[in-house]
Amino acid sequence: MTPLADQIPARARLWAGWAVAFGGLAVATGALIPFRSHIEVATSALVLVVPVVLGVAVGGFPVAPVGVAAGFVTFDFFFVPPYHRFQVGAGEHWVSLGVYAAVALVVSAVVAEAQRARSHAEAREGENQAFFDLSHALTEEGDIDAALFDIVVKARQVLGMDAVEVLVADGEVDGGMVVRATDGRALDAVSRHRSLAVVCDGEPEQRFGDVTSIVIRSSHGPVGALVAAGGVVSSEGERTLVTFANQAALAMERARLTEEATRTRLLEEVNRLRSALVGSVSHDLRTPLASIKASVSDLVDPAVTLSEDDRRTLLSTIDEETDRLTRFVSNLLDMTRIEAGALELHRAATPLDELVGTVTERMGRLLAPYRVRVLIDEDLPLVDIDYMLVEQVLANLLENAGRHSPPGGIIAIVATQLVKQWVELRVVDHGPGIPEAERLRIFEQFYRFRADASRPPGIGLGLAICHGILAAHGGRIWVEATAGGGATFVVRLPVAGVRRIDPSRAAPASA
Amino acid sequence: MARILVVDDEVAIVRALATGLRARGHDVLLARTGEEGLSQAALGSPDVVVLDLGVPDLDGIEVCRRLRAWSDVPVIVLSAHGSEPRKVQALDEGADDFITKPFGMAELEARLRVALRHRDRWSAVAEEPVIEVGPLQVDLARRTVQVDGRTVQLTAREFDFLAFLARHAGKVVTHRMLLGEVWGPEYGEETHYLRVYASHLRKKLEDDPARPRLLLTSPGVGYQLVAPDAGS
Repeated sequence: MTPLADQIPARARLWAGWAVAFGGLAVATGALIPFRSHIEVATSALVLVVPVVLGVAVGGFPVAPVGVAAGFVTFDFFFVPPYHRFQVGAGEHWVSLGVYAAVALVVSAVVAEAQRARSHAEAREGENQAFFDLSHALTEEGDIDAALFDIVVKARQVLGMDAVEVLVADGEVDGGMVVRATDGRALDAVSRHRSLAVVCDGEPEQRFGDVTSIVIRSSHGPVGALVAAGGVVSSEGERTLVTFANQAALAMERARLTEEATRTRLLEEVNRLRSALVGSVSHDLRTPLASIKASVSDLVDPAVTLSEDDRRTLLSTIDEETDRLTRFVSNLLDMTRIEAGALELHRAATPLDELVGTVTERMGRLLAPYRVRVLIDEDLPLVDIDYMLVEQVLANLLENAGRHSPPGGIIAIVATQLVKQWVELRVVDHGPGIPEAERLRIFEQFYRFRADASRPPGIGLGLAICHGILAAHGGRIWVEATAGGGATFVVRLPVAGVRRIDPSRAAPASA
Repeated sequence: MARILVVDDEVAIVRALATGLRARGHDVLLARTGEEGLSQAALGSPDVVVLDLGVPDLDGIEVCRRLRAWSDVPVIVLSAHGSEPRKVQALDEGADDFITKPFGMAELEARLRVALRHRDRWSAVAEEPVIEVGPLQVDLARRTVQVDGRTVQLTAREFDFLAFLARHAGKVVTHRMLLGEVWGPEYGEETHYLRVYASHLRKKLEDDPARPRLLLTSPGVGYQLVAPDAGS
């Protein structure tokens, strides 16, 4: 893409041009000498123009003076009678010599100009191609740093500089600066700061030493500079540099817009979640409150005569619904702490059977319509957990299982040690189960999956909290299908040290 | 003493309602889903239906609509605070009154009394030319109104306003229903008309227009014409 002429240094091109001119002259002379008495002087003059012109074509116009002089001397010495003497016989031969010199010079000039125009065109085309490639790459490039790096690499390649950098003024620090992209040797700090002056002083460009700095201007004004160092930048090169600076500005602008769009989307998502939360929270808070209020208002109404049974029903309703409200509020608080990253674990070696016993007893009335089976390995090791939090996990899972089980359905709580470090606690129900596609999503906050249209969904917090609590423990929670239908939630808890529940030894220690 | 059908899926609230209502001498029927509620309404012939809008299978509003297709039984809707649009929708679909959770049993009992008091009216309205609501007599044929036997002069539109409420006495009539009936179907949003007419009517009908006992306002929802409790 870059023109050949640009890749070969000028000095080498000049030598090549001379070599072609002199070599060509030698070959042509050698070839013509045997026939020189049979051909017109003018013919040999024409032939001798050719090597000079070729030399100019290769080496550019600087080859012409020496090339033409050499051709002139060769022509005079070998082909203008008398031969082998710098002497001109007939007057017409003076004319031949003059014509030779003129033709050689003019043709050389024309060829050199054509050559220059061609290499210029090639250079422009290469540049255009570079810009095309670049803008193409930039459109596909999502990452701003990669885009800016593409720009400096291309700019350095096209302009043949030692170093190209994108510098951005850092708004946070006075006089601060960030090097966003650099290619070639790194610039020194002083040059960088001088380059960045274009941002503040309103000049579109600045030059000092071998450094050229072009302002990068976004829609909000100047933001940084594209700096090229270690080479001469022509006025044309400067235009190229400005184009690159504009590309950089575009890339930065695009990155800013993308970032803004992402932030807006995020805000929308947060708002959506927030309103979902408000809706669910108010429903979940109000439902137990409604039951409590209705029960209490009966108990305090002197106009109503309640039987002892009625009183007990109302009081136990209040009791249960207060528990439910407490569970819900704990969930909300835990979620807040998980969200804030402030979940503090108070770990202790805990016998799991005790925890399961406490929870099932506490939730006895809620679980009364179901047949609850507890299967815990006799020699299950202690688990290293925060008692209150894991209790919350089990309560949430049991509440879930109850919500999705048919009355009289079996809910099993199974604890086993499958591997040395982990105990697995399973809550097995025989409800409608959870389709494979939903099994990850149900642990997301506020995600509510309605397995059974005839039952109300929960708030979509319980499982998210379980997930958060387990993650804090370094454990895991997931859901599987129950054999024969239903959902099995599996909780993996870390085994505490090496201690085990061993009736013969652990009895005094576990008290 | 009435037969009351409670349609709600929340076990705890159903238990609290049933206990309280039975203790007050009512006969209570229970349904956990909308479908069950509809069949109970058909088989058990309740005097009043207490319906939670959040029943799981059918939308509560759909239950109202289906019930109204064949029954005039008064429906009191249980709704959560903040669900005003759904409450209004339920009223438009034929529900008679609503109560917002959490509520005390005394308040529910009061709503039930209003519903029961006006229940007979709702089935008989069509033939009757004179509607009585407490001290109020609205003669639909002669377009006259009396309060405690004293004739009150009303403009044509005031009469239409009152007559519509009287035909649905005890029921919360939504803004949309009133505007559509009295002003015409193209009026739906001009609730400020209603405020003006309600205020005029109160001045003419109520003992104390600032504390109305006949023409009640359900803020943001509509109006309700009730016969005041005899004792209160």
